Amino acid sequence: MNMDPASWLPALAARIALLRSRRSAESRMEEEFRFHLEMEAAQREREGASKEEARRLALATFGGVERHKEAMRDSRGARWLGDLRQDIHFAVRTLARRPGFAIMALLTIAVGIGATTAVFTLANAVLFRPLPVPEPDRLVAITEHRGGAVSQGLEGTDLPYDRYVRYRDATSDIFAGLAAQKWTSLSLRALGNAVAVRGTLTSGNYFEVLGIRPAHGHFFTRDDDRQVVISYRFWRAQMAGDSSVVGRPVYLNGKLLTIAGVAPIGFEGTSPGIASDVWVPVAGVRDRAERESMSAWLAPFGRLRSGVDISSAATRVDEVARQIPPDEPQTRVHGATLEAMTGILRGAIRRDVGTVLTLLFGTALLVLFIASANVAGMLLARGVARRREVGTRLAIGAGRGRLVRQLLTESALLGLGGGAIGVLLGIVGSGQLAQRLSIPFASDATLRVAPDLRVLGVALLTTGLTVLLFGMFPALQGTRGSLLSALRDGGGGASGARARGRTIFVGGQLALAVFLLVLGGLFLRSLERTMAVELGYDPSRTIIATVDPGQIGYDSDSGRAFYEQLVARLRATPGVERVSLARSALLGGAPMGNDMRTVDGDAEAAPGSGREQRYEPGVPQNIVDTAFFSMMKLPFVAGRGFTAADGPGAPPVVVVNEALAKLFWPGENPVGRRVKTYGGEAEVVGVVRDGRWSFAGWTPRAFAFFPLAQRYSGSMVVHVRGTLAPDALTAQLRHIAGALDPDVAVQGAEPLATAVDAMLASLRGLTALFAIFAAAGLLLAAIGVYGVLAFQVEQRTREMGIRLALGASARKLALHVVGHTGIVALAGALIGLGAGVVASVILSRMLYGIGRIDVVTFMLIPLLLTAVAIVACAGPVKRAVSVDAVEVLRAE
Amino acid sequence: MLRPQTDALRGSIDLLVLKTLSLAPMHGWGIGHRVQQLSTGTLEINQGSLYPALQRLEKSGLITSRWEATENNRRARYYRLTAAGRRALGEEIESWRRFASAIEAVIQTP
Repeated sequence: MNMDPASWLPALAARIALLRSRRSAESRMEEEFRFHLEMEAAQREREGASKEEARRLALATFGGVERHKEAMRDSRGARWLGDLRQDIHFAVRTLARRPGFAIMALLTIAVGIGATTAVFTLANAVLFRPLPVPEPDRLVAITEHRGGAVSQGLEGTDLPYDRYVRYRDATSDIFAGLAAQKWTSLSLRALGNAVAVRGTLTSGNYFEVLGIRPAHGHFFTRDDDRQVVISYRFWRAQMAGDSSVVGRPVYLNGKLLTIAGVAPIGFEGTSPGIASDVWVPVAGVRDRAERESMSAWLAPFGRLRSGVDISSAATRVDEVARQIPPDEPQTRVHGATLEAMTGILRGAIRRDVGTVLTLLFGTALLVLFIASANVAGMLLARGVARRREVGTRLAIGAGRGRLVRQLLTESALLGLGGGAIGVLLGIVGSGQLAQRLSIPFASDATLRVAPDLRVLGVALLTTGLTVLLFGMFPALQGTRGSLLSALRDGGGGASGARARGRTIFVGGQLALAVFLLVLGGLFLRSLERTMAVELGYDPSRTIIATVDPGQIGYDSDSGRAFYEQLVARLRATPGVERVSLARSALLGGAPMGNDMRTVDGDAEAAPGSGREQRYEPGVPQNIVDTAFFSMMKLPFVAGRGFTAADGPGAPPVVVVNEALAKLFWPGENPVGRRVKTYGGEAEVVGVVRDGRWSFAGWTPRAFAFFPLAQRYSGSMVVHVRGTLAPDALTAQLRHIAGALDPDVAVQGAEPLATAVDAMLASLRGLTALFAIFAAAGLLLAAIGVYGVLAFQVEQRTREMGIRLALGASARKLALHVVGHTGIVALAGALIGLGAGVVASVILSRMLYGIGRIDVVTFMLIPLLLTAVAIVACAGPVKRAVSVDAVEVLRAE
Repeated sequence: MLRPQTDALRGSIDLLVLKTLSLAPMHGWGIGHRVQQLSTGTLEINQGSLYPALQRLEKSGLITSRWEATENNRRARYYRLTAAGRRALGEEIESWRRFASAIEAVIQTP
């Protein structure tokens, strides 16, 4: 919504004017009638009537004043307003007469709306919230898809600097500007000690493309400006909000730059999940040679020119991607796609989390559907009880449309009331949800789960749909038929089309419930399987911490020497048992991902021929030392781990996991096969069992390990296991690292088990959530089916009384009724099951660990609901056949 | 609720109102009173349907209204004919005459 007063003030004025004219029309009418009556009375007085008599006669000839006013309003078109007021009044009175019903309905709706709102609020914050920049919907990120040869980058799809420049120049017809960026960790020294900061290396036009203005100072504009922009938060926290810092010199990774300005408050980079403290032009900390040597590292994004729609832009970008010759002749560019820059996640993680949130939202919607069906059932039952009233009102001339509107007003009141409670519940719940699910990259600082207009819009939409869903059918049912049949049935009978309608409704509700429960069951079972994936390694008695000698200028030789000394001294420390190094901890965020392909395939063979070159983009790759596998107790399925023999001069080797082996060499022995990736070819020497290695952990992913001796990384995670307490182990590590070089910082030290627990907690939270939703759905469905069935049987009490009086056997009668209900229930359950089968075939592609038909789920759910159905009608039937027939008939 | 009226009745109210207003601007009660006078008591406009008729005629631009003082210095809503109203009156009279003579022709048949 536009918050600019200039745009809504005139609209508001017009609205007020309309209200005022309506009021003036009313007062004019009032005055005109009064004048008329006075004139008439005066005339009567002149004709000889007493003053009192004259007034009475005047009123009598005029007729009903209110009736005339209504007629006037009618011809003014203002009637609906009065009607609405009346309807609301009436609905409130009706609902207040049956508070139990009203409360049940309100709570049921609140549960449904609350669940959907909670999930959507979270999804909105994670996936949809726009960047705090002007016209954020015009910003798109480019993802290039490459195959064949190899590149480096988070998804293996980032660009080398020169390629970005060519993109920028070739797409100036669709982009007002194309920027590029790279997230990185930097060390910044302003005054005193260096601090580690999260930074973004950007193209010079970065801020211009975003269209934001600095809070202080100015922004850099050229790729080779030697300037830095700091975030508002960093400025407040680290520089005390001192505006004189603009122009001051700082050292960033040892290079001298000046502070150009401060970014606006609330802006923390284009992926708010990774908040940036500083922004530096790409040439600021990397010189030209360095820039060109990096194979691919920049992520491009651009602002669409006005008038360019996203789909034609996507076509153009795809075209450009194919036209620019690849930097390596072997590389095949498959094209490029555009992605909206909303929410806090991008790329593969966004897809993963998005899938889970979509499933959650789907489940919440199912709960809402069941809740709606329940309320519809309640209204339907009440509609039957009110047939005499409705029939009478129809007979004395109330229009059916008018009555439907009246009944819908009641539903709308229930819906809005329940919706309001639900939205409140949902907003409170979404905060809890966010905490329990611990979304990757999301922290309190970056994930704002506050509701916004989009959340309220969706809440309003779901509420409106809910009202229509549960209100329309009962309203139409309730006002059908004539007075005659209503009075003849005496409000108790269940005859003809009406009863058929209810039968269909019962069947439909059962179908819906079975369908939803089958889906809920599938989600739960998939999660259960996911949870059952073994951790696959031993996190006990171990601490992890990052050392980053590369950041302060160590090259690969001095870096390796540093690592060797660190490990040797740690191993010599009493109380330390094992020490090893890895590029990243097994679940410490996304390790570097590189495109990978098989070498021994035929590059020209068609996909699916079995001889084709297999290719997988963005395979997460870890770099580990020789002690890592045995220390972490990673079980080998085939081959071996790294040994001292896998040195710099030896043939390059790689260890893969089962998932990667299955992907590249299904049914074959992977040991001895070769892959190509960034840094060259390598031979597979071992296969380790899949484990829960990445933070998302929904499904085991392809994963590869390279030996530290053959690959270098400027920063490593030190793993230390020992008999000492975690704090003591950390203190030893700090002491030894500090003795080797006081400038090497030891960062993010924590017990490995703590990190593992945090990740498992998020999975447990998710499982619990699905379980709660499914349980709520099951409970609501059971209550709903019970209610409708019990009511339907009760409706037939009179019929059964008569049959009993005519000599029917109670046993046969009961069997007949239960049988009838059973057939309806079974039919409904079967339809729901059919829909469930279709849905699960589709879902089996998305969910981990379930076959197309999950037998347990499919058997259990229908059985459960059929049991509910039988219990639901058994009680009332028993009561019905045991009462005295005369009693029943007399009750009429 | 307003019962729907036949077109003939609704048409005749419009005709009577327009004709009365063509003589002089008048407030609502005055119109009813005047019709009664002119028809020597035979025609009595249902007062309830008078005001909706006035509102309708004003909406279609045949009459206008504004607050004025009566001879007794009371505030009253006075209605007056517009040019379009005058033309409409001519057509109304024409069609009424055709209608009346048609009825006459029918009942004159021996």
